[in-house]
Amino acid sequence: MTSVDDISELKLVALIVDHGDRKAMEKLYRMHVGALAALCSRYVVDADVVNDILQESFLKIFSSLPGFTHRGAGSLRAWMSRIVINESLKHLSHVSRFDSLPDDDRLVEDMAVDQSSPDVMSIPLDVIQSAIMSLPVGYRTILNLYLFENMSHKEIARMLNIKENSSASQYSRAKALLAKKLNDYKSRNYV
Amino acid sequence: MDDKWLDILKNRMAGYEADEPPGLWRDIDRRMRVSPNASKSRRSAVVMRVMMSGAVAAVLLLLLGVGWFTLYDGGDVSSPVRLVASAPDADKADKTVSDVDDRVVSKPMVADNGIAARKSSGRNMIAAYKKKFAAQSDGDVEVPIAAKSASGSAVPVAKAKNRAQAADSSNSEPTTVKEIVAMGDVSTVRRDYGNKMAKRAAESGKISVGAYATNLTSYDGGNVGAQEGNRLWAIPRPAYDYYSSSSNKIDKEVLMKLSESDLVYSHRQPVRLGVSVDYGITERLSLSTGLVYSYLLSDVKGGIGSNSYDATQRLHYLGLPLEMRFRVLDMSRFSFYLSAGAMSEICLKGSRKAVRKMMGEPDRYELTDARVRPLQWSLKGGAGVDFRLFGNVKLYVEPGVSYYFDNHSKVSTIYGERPFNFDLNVGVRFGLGAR
Repeated sequence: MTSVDDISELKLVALIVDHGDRKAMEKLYRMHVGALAALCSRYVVDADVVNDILQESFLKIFSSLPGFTHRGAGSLRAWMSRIVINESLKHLSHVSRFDSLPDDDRLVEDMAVDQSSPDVMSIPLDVIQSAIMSLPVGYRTILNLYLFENMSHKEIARMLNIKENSSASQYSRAKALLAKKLNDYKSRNYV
Repeated sequence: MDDKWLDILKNRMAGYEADEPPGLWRDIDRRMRVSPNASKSRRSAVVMRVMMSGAVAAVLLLLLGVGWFTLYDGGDVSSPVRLVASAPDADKADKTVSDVDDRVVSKPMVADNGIAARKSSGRNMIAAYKKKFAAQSDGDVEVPIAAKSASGSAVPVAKAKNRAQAADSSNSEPTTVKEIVAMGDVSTVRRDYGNKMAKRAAESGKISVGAYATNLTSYDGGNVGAQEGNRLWAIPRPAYDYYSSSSNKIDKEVLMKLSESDLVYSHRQPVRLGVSVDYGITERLSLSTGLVYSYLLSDVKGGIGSNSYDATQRLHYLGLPLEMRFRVLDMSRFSFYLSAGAMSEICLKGSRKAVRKMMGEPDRYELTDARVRPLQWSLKGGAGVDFRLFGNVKLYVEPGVSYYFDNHSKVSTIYGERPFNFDLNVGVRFGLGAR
C-alpha cells in the first residue's frame, strides 16, 4: 500500500528526474539525511569522513534517480541505503584490513568474563549507536553486515576478501564486546 | 548468552536517526552547481534540449544557406528573364524581351551569378543587349527584340523564323559578358568563377563514389592502457542497474554486487569506415549517402580494493547517412565545402568481456551481450577540403561535429555520454562519368 509519505516522496523524485528541481532535492535530502547519517556512522566513525561519504552518496543518489524503480513503501530508503553502504565499504576497503583482529589481550579477556545479555530496551538509542561505533573496524563492519543487512558469513567473507571463519569469529567477538559495553553503560548509569 | 537482545537491538535501531552533519547540504548544493554531472537529470531535461535545438537550428540554417545560394546563382535559366522584366525604364522591352525565346539570353545568363538581384545594373545590361542586337541588325538579320536602338529609332520586331538564328548568335557570343565587365558590372567575377565551377563539375562527373575513415588514430588494437588522450571519462554509472532492483530490505545478492556497481566507463572515439555515393544536384550542391561501419570501444572498471571488475565493451554499428554538401570555394586543385546531414545507425553486435578478480586473483570470466537495441540517430555538420590528386580522384579531409540523440539504451556508449562529438573524416572520392 502506498502511504502519504510515499506519494510526496514519489512527487519529489519525479520533480528531480524531470526538472532537476533543486528544492525537491533538498526536501528529499531532509527526509532521509538523519537515517542515512546514522547508517553511515555505524560503518565509519570519523565525522569528516562521514560527511564526505554522505556528500558522494547524495550526489550519486540524485544523478542515479532516473534509474530508480519504485517497488513499494520504503524502497527508496532501501535504495539510498545501499548507495551509502557501498560508499562506506569502498572507503573502508582503502583504509582497513578486515582480516586483522584487534591485538588487544584485554579485550579478549574482558569478553571471556562478560557473557550476560544486556537489557537493550532500557538503553538510549544514541548509546547503542555509540557502542557500535566504538567497536574495532572489522568487528563493526561484520556486525553491521551480518546483523543489520542479513548477510551470511560466506557472503561477508567473499565481499570483504576474508576467510569465512574469520568473519564468524569477528562477529562473535563483536557481539560479546558490544554486550560488554552496553552492560558497562547500564551498570554505570543504574538503568 | 542468547541472541534475543540482538534482535531487539536491531529493531530498535531501525528507526534511529543521527544529526545532520553541519554544512552537508551546502556542500552538496555547491558541488551540484560546480559539477554538471551531479545534476545530470536536469542537464538532460533542460540543457540537452537546448543543445539539441541548437544542432537542429544549425543544420537548418546551413541547408537554408545552401538553398539560397543555389537559387541565387545556380544557373536558373529564368533568371535573365526576370532581370529584364524588372528593369524600370524598359517597359516596352520588358514585355518584348519576355516574349523572346529564352535561348536568346539563356547562355550568357547561365554563367551569371547573382545578376538577377542587381537591378541597378539591369539597365546597363538591357542597353548592352539593345546595342548588341542593334549592331547585329545589318539589314539581313532582323533584331530579335522590339526595342529602341541606341540612337532612339525603333528596332524592327523579330520574326519568328529568325529567332533561332538570333539565339544561336547570342548563345555563341562570349563578348556579352565582356561588354558587361566593361560597363563595370562586378558580378562578372562571380560569373567567371561560376563558369569554372561548372566546367570542373562537368569534368568530375555528376556522380562520385568515395571511401573514408574516421578517427583511425584512436584505435590501438585493444590495448586498454594506451591512447589515454582519446578517451572520454564518463561519470560512474552502474552497467547493470543494481540500484534499481530495489526492495524493502537490502537483499544479500545486491550487497554482494555492490563491489562492482560503481563502474567507470572510459569511452574511446568511434572508429569509422565508410563508402559514399555523391549525386551532384547542381554545380555546387550534392546529395550524399552510403554505408558507414562504426566500431565503439570502451573500458569498464569497478570494484573495491582487490575485488575488481575489468571489462572491455565492443559495439559494432552499421549506419546509413544522408548529407547535403555545398561547395563554397573552388581553387585550382583545392575546393572547400560545407556539409550537413543525418544518420541512422543500427548496432549489429555488442559484447562485453569481463574478468572479476577476488583478492587480486581472477575469479570469473564473463562474456555478456551488450548489443544496443534502439536505433541511434544523429545530426552531423562539417567543413571539408578536397584536394585533386589526378583526374577525377580527390583526397579529402573533413572535420565535423555530430550530435547523437538519446536512444534510451541502458548500455553506456560514447553516444550517450558525449552527445556532442567531434570527428575527422579522411577519404578519397572518385568522379564517375560526365554531367
